[in-house]
Amino acid sequence: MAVAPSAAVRPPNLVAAPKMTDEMFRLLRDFIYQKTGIYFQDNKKYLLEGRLGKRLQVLGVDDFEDYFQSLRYGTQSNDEMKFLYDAVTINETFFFRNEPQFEAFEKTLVPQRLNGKSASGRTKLRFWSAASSSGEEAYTLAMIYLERLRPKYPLLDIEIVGTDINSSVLETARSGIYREYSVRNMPKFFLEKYFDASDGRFHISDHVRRLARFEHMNLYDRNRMRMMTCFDIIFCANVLIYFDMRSKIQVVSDLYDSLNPGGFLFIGYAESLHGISSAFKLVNFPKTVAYKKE
Amino acid sequence: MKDEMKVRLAALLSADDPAVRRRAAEGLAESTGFAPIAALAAALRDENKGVRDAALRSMSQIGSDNVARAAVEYIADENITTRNLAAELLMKLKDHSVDALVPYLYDADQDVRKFAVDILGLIGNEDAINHIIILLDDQDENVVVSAAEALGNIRAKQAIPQLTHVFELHQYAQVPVAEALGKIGDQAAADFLLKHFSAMVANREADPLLLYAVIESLGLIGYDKAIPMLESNIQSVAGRLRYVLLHAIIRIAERCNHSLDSLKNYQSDLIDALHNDDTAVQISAVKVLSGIKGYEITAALLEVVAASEELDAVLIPALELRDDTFRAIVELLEQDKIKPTKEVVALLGRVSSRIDYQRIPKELLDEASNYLQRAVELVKHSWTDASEETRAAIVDTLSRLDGDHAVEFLAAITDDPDPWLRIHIIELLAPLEDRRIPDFIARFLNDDDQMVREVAASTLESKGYSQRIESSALGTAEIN
Amino acid sequence: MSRVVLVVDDSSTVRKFVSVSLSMQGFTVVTACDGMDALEKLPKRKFDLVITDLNMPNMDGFELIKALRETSEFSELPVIILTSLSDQANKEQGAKLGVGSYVVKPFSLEKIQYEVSKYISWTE
Repeated sequence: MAVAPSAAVRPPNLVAAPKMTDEMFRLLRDFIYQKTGIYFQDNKKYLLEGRLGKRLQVLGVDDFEDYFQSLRYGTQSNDEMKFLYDAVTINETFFFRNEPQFEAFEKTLVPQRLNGKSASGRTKLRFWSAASSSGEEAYTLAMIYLERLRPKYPLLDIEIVGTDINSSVLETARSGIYREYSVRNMPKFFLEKYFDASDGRFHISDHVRRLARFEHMNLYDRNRMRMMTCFDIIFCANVLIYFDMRSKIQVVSDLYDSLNPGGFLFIGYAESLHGISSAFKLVNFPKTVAYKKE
Repeated sequence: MKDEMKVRLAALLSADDPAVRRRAAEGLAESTGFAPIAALAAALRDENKGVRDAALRSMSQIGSDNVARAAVEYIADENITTRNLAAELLMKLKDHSVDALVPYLYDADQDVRKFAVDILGLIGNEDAINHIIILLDDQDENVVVSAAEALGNIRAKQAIPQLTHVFELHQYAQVPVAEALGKIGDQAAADFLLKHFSAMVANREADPLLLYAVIESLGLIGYDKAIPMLESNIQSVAGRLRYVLLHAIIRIAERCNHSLDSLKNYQSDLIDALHNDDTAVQISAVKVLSGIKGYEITAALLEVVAASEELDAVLIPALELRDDTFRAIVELLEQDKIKPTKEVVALLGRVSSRIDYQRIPKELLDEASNYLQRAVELVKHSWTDASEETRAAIVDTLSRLDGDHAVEFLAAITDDPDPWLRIHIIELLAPLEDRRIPDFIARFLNDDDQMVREVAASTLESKGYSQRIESSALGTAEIN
Repeated sequence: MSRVVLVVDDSSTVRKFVSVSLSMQGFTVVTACDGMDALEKLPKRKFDLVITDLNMPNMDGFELIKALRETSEFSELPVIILTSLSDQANKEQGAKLGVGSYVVKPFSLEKIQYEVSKYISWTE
């Protein structure tokens, strides 16, 4: 039936995957926390072990101790950090993922922000998709602007910034090329108007791509965060869950500072700022909640 | 350093721009000395929320007795927001706040006394106990209730006599005292509660809320002498209270290594208890039900899978041991009574691995294989809407259910956006002996992700196939 | 369909007991520990009634009620105040915000059930 595999060599992935001791897990967890604020609970050890284990196999490294040493002191450590960041982030997302937020954005928040600015002359609003992953959220905002906002407010310009700690998803975002899974929740109308389908992939059209730019950003890096200022609306969904209390408090405080007075923050559906920040005013919308900087 | 701090203090107190004031408040987070602390405390009353928030955070970070002393007066402030901020801070400071708070237990205003005792109760420090006991005699009812609650939170054993005295004196305080006694937990408390339990069950007019509190507390204390009395009254207690009672009995029995057999007679109550909001009650129910055989029970248990992690920790091992779990999952999924969550899918895979087809009698083999096919279809069907983690579970379960079938399905999933999942698929396909495998894996040589391409290449190489990959991203593979 | 009540109070004892009192009558109860927690939970399902304390950290009862009245979705939601502050000023402020019922702590089971029944009855 099958061609006989050469007897002397076994596929590398059948060799027992390197085991991570609890002590090693603690060291790696602390290291990752120091760098990114992302905190791995004990019950997520399997995730780190599995993902980093695969990285070890590709590198041909036998055990985690060696890997950890090279992360900290090796000459290629900066490059390797990129792989580490890739390994610790969970990137699942898709277009039009959180509809109540986009509804509130389109129907209430943008109009409110515009009221605060001059009635005549061009106005520019800035939006930030923090932890943008492969860009679906950022481009969704761009499409909503093109389709629904610009016709109503022809003098409105927008700037969308998407950031993430994971470099490979940023590449995907910049390319604007997506698979079926990412577009599965999109209203057909948007899919047809703003995407070209070819080869089983969906290419977002250029005038949408132009509205967003993507940068590498570690939300836990205060100096970098201080450089993100004057945003009108920030979307930070489904990333705070990976931080512990302390790092959440720091990140949210920096997000507050990044907003213009009167600006809004959105977080994920199942998330809460309770016990994390009392600086915002909570504003309710149908099926969702936003946090306003007064 | 000192000059810098003076500048910050000035900014804090007088800048017009709230962003400047906020930065100033943040900047004082590392300071010592009373002046910056006093300035931060005053900033708790700033009109801007962002400034107040920064002041709160900085003060929590400094976290000393001085901070508590500066903040405590604000618990009596006329502005409710200020009072609440001060309270939140004092709670975060924990033991540092105790000395500062004690004098406020004697304040003339009953709301202030109540506030102070609430905070001390949540801090949980024992030094305040004697002062709080005095408040059990307070004229204001709310203060008395808060004192009882606080003594329970602090677990003050020495307060038991006074607490039982208050229980008998003031009807309004009975429920909080009962709860407090349960938290304190002591034989004296248990005897007292048991005495009242029997009196209440006999009395039709008894307050159900109080009965609930007493039963809960007895369960919490774990006093084994309570079991006979509680068990003998199961029939007399109806509705929701019954499974609270069952839960209490189970809790005590576990602590004291008492057998749970007699409770098996209460099957339907226990099945109801599975849907209770309280996870602890659900877990108790699972513990007894897992000792009872029967399809009805298996189905009832399956219906609460994936509701909570804590419950699953007990539930899933129990389900793995039951004979009819595989069949039940298939049928319940088909009837849409349960959803294909990652827990259910993974469980299906694990139980199927246990099925030993050699030992199934011939006449039942067809039936078994029929269930297997249905299982495969259900799992494949759930793919489109499944989350990342669930898809990983589906991939694993499919390969356990039916290796051959899995190959085709898995190989078609080159389209999943998650590179880790694509790598996992390569790993699952690799050891299988099927002549289509090399082609399937070869498709991943064109993958967008570098890591996936590397894994595919090294897998093929070590399986004994050489390939030629062109240096561009779109490669081709040639199988020799 | 069972009626859903949101109970907001920073005391876990009060939350538990109001919760138990009402669920014994067949209501579904969701609890929140202060105003902010309440506002975050409100959009997540349809509520029929809110019972709230006044004196809570992070956002007190009046702030919560004001926020409800300002949101079109919740402006008609009935509210019962549960409080230890029984003075007239609070009653007046409550009345201005459209609060019909005041329950003063410590409260009895009957009192809570009676006040709730004014707004919603348990339906099967």
